[in-house]
Amino acid sequence: MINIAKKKLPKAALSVLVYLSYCATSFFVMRGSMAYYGQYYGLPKWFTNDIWSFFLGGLVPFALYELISVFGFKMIWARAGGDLASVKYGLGLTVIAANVFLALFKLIYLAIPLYASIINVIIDPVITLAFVALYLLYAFKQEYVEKSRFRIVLTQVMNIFLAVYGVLALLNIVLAVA
Amino acid sequence: MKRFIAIVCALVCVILSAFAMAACADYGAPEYSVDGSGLVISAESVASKIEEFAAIEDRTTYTKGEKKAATYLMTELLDFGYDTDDVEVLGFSLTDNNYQVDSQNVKAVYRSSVAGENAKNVIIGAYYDNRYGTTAGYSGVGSTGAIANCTGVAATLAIAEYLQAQKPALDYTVTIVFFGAGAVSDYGAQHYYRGMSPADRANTVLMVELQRLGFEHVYAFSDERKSRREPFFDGVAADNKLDIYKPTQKSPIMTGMYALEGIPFYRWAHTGIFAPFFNSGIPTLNLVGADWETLDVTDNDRVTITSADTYANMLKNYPKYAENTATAASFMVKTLEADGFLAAMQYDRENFPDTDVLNKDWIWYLVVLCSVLIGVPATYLVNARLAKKYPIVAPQPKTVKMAVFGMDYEDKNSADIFVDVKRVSALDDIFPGIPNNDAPSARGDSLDPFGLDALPASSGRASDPFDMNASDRSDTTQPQIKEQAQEPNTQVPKENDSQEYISQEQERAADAAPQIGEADDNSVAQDERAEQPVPADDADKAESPDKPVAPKTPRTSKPSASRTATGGSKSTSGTTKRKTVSAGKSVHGGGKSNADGESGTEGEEK
Repeated sequence: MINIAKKKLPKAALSVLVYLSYCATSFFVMRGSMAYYGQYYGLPKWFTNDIWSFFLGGLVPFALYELISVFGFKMIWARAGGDLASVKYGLGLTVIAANVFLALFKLIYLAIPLYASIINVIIDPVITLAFVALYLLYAFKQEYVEKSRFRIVLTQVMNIFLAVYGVLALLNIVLAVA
Repeated sequence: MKRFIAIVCALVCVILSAFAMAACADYGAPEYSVDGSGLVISAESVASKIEEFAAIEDRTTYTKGEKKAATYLMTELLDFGYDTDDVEVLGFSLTDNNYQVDSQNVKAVYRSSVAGENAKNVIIGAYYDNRYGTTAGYSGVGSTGAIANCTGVAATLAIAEYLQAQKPALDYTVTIVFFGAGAVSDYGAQHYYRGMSPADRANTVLMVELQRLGFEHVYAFSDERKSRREPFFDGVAADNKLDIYKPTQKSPIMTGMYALEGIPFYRWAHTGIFAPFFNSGIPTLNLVGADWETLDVTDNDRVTITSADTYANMLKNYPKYAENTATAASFMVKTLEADGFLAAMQYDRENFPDTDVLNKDWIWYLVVLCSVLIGVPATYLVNARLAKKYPIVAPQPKTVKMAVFGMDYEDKNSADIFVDVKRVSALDDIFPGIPNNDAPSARGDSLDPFGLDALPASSGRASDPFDMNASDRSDTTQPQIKEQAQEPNTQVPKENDSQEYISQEQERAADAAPQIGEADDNSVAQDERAEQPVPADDADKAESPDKPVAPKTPRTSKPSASRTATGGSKSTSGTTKRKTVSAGKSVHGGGKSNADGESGTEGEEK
């Protein structure tokens, strides 16, 4: 089996790619937000365009991902040990792949904008969790971490993703009902 | 590097294709050539109507200015030839921002001779008030509302005038409505709808709003869902070569908010007073002036409901205002007269899609929450399975034991670490090139660090608990070792009696050092026995395989170095001591003494 973490890209390069992938997946939503704020609150003309929409869209999800992965993996390493650097690296590649898939999928907004909201709400977490789960299976087979300790990595990583999406869903339910 | 380039190229391709698809999406502009031949209502007639109505600058909502504008409109309709029975002012009261206020709608009905008693109805309307002054908590912005909405009013007046002038044979009625309180919200439209009887509502097949027509383009928005009326309207515009735009796929979608029931997102075209009719299931058409070809709509919104929205500014900045207004009015008239109009509208009225569930975002978030709640126990199930299949085995604690001199270690699987110590001399080249620390020449220490030699024999030092002197003196191999000390690769101490002396002192110091690690009772007993001095005459017995053989003096092992493999060297009673670490060999019971004195080859702690 190919070891995707054998030759690692520089950390900065990986972070840039993760950021760009988040930009791609958030482009349509950010475009809409910018249009809304431009209409109701007024935005400078030089700012209200697709380029700014693209690069602004990835800021918040990228920052959230970096923040959670830094602290999350430190906690995981303290308990599991092993080659967690490779696990983290591979997870970055997985996130990139998931975001690229989502960005392509969201081109469907052009054809069926009526289902854009549903796609945004449901597809994002489902696809991301599926990619992460598949990657953890791969990491298990690669034995980056001892098999006896891998369950620590599994539960921590999955719980982080599930917690983030769960909290966001709960918050949005409360806001929608209120 | 190649992979990095490949990844970057893939990402760039994706981004470019996304932009390409966005760029290649439908433009709003009509795909047919526009020549103005379909303009049945002239730009000049519309322009004069705009100018007249804009002269009523103060039409502030809920004020006398608004009433004055309503009176003007009623007069115009009557002048067009509408019967007094067909023209009425519908006043209403409401509470807005905790203010009790009044407004009014102005209504006129065109009924052709062929329209029956229960004929279907089409409503065409525009709001006529503005935000000139302060009212009911709304701050005045000095907007005379030339674009929003003198243009819409003018277009509606032009349609009303055309109908009375041309008297088309329509098999349905057309209701012309000028809505009040439209500049602050859609209260006028809401009150009008509430005032309709159920039969009137059921008979209404289309509601058309005309607003802000002075801007760059005129857009026709029907529905985001598939309908029959949208292609019908497209066909009318194309047949008459009218410059009517369509909201495109390029116009941004604002998810997470909505203005129309059943449409789970917001687009610029969704704003208007037609919303109450749309939300109640009546098909609508929003003819609105805008420029939605770019993301930037600030030009539009820097004019509407601002002091920049004046007749003079409109003339200066939007020269096509009259043409666009005339286009919208002509389009509406041509639509009313087009064949198949009623059938298409009726079909949409009867088959209005019910997609309200799409607005209920909480359902989709609940689906996500349920997925999360399923995912958590699934994760723990997998966790439990892995725990069962790959349990964590706690490493056995290692015991450091003192090896008995000369004993074989039987249990090769023992995890204990055995330290077989000896006094290290300079001859022992444990680390090539590095002087042995025990060698006094390397340490440079005093030969009597504790000053014990200076004490009189009666001080308690007289006894030689380990009988080292006797045993050492009897050692016949000492000279050999001293000779070996001449070898150049070690720091060789001078050949003198201090060699023995040093070792004794060192041994005493070593005795005082704490023991390393834990040991079970047996091994402790053995260690203690191992530490007991062996008289010289017992040396042979000490080498008996049946009894534990104690080294002459115990010594602590050299840190880390003692745990590495060392070569074996002869251990002889009382003189040289081996400082090695051995693992996997037991000191328990008797065993053959290793003739080579090797006490272990694997020193690495596992």
